[in-house]
Amino acid sequence: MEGRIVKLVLDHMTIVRDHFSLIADGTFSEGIHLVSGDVGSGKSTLAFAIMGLISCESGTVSRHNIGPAMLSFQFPEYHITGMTLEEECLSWGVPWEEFISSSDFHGKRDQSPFSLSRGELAQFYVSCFLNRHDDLLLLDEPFGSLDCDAKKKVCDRLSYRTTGITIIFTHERAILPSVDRIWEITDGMLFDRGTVPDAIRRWTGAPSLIKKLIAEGKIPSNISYDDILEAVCRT
Amino acid sequence: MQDVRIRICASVLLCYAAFINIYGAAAALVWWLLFTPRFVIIHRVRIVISMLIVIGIISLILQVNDASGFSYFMRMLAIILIGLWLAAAYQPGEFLRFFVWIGGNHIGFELGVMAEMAMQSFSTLLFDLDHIRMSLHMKGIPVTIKNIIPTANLLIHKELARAKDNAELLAIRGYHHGGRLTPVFMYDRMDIVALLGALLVAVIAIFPFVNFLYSGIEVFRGLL
Amino acid sequence: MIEIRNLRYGSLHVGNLDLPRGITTVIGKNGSGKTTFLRLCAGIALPDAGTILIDGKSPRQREIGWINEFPDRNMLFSNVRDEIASPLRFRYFVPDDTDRSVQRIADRLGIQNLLSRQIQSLSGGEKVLVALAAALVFEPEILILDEYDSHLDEKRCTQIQRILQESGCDYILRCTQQMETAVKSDNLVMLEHGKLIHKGTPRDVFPFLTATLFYPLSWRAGL
Repeated sequence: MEGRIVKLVLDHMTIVRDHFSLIADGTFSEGIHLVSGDVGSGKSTLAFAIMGLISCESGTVSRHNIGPAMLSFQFPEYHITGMTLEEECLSWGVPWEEFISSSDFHGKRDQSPFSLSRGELAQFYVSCFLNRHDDLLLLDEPFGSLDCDAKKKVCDRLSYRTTGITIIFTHERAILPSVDRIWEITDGMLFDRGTVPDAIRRWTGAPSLIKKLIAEGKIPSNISYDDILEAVCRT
Repeated sequence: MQDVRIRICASVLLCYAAFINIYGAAAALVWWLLFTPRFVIIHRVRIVISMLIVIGIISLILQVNDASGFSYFMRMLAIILIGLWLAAAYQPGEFLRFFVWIGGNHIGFELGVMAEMAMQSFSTLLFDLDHIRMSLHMKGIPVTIKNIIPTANLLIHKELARAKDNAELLAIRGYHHGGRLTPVFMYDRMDIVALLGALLVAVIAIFPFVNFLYSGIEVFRGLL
Repeated sequence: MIEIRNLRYGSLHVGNLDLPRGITTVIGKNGSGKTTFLRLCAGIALPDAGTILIDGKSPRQREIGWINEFPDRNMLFSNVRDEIASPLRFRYFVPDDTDRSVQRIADRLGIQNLLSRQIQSLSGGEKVLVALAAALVFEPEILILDEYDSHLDEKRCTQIQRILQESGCDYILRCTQQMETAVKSDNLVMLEHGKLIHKGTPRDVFPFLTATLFYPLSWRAGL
């Protein structure tokens, strides 16, 4: 539907688990959002709760004009339901020909998903998800197990996603995509740091290199590798 | 019941009693009501209702066919509830201590390690199943017989990979045969009371007092 | 010295390599052979050809601590105390000594409060600390870590870097995809398609990688 505005609203969503609790308030509008936080802060739990896969103690998650939604697991092997890569693609509603036009899996149509390494599997699923055009796409630690080049490819592919809401939950600190908004989870609460580039200054958990650049007055225009590099090379 | 030795001993006595006859089963159920956090267990263990339905159906079939359906239901109910209590009461590390206490630092330790790793694998399996279920739900794939095959495929892959990791980890941590551990157990007065209660249940099953009382009553009436 | 001569295993072919004492980091793309190389150095796998000698002995004759990439794959038991104590129990240490060593390593790593916890309830970072404690509790000569920092945040990585430097192990071999971790090494080895392509200190190796994403951003920033 042309011109519809998609929105995800968290209204005092409270999640309680054995050794932590998390309160989340905020509105995710169209664009790419980064949710950062230390390991164990509740990023994955928040992602699961937004998808409705786990229950909240209180509060609500409201989807406005959001149709298809998808969550990519931190450990991609849990997604495997097909016996071949083509079957796996089709299980996501993505025809193989469409998938192969934008990925590096030529000649592997009949290969078993189990034959891929963890890194290759992660790249495979990111390609599947980005071919789906979901209104809401949640990526839980999409950079884990990937080498530098693979991380950069994922970041570049993400930049082509211009519609819908994309939320990336990650503690990655070197190679990140360009984002529209930064959030972070600290002390059991989700904080909205705002839109980039202003958000970068307010980002308390920013990677140490970004903090050093800010201290030197070289604030990057965004948090992608290329933007950081540009800031680094600024005189 | 903190002491795993008492818990296992009580469970064996109770299940044996429940298996023998309906008097033992009834006594075991009374024991379960008195000495376990009964409704907490039922609330926590999702499969309880399904298990009860299955044995209920079998009991009905037996009863309709002039077999002792009611007796079967009572005995199976008691065994299931005792078994669930035993599983729910498990604390990580207990089996290692228990088997070392029974079998010593060689065979006992090995059995204990196997039991602990089995429990660890079981809880990991539940975690895996949960994630697979979520994945199927997100893909809009119903859980059917046809779709179980790739799911089983994934679980087998993960279990084999886990078994390999565990074997390597054992080797690199210096495992050869057995290990050394001094098992420590803690129990209180109520544990002893519960154990004595389980003994009493076993006695009731072996010597059914109801029959005894009935025979006694008949003799008394005869005398009158 | 770790002396590697004509090492072959599947498609991995390292040739000759000497690794002095200290922290050696192995870098390379996914599938370059890093994990295989570390498994050979740990004695988990045996080479098809060639030798690995650590101060004159094969890896299986050495005390080696090992940490897998994925936190959950480093756990044998369900509770923290049993996990950390396991290497000592397997070696038939006197139980009192085992308890003391477990407490000592927990104090050193700052995880005393985790000893009574169940592994399942720990965060990924806490699991790595527990795995590290289990690997260090028997004071190994060599510590090998396979991409342990993939699932760690920066704070935790810094903590573990400090622990590694203070560990007292003669050799620490690790692989990582974080180049900011790799710079904090005494030696660097880079693999590509199973072959050794660079070796030396970080100052020797990274200049070859300036045109790639493997060059540390902090060095580009002059930090």
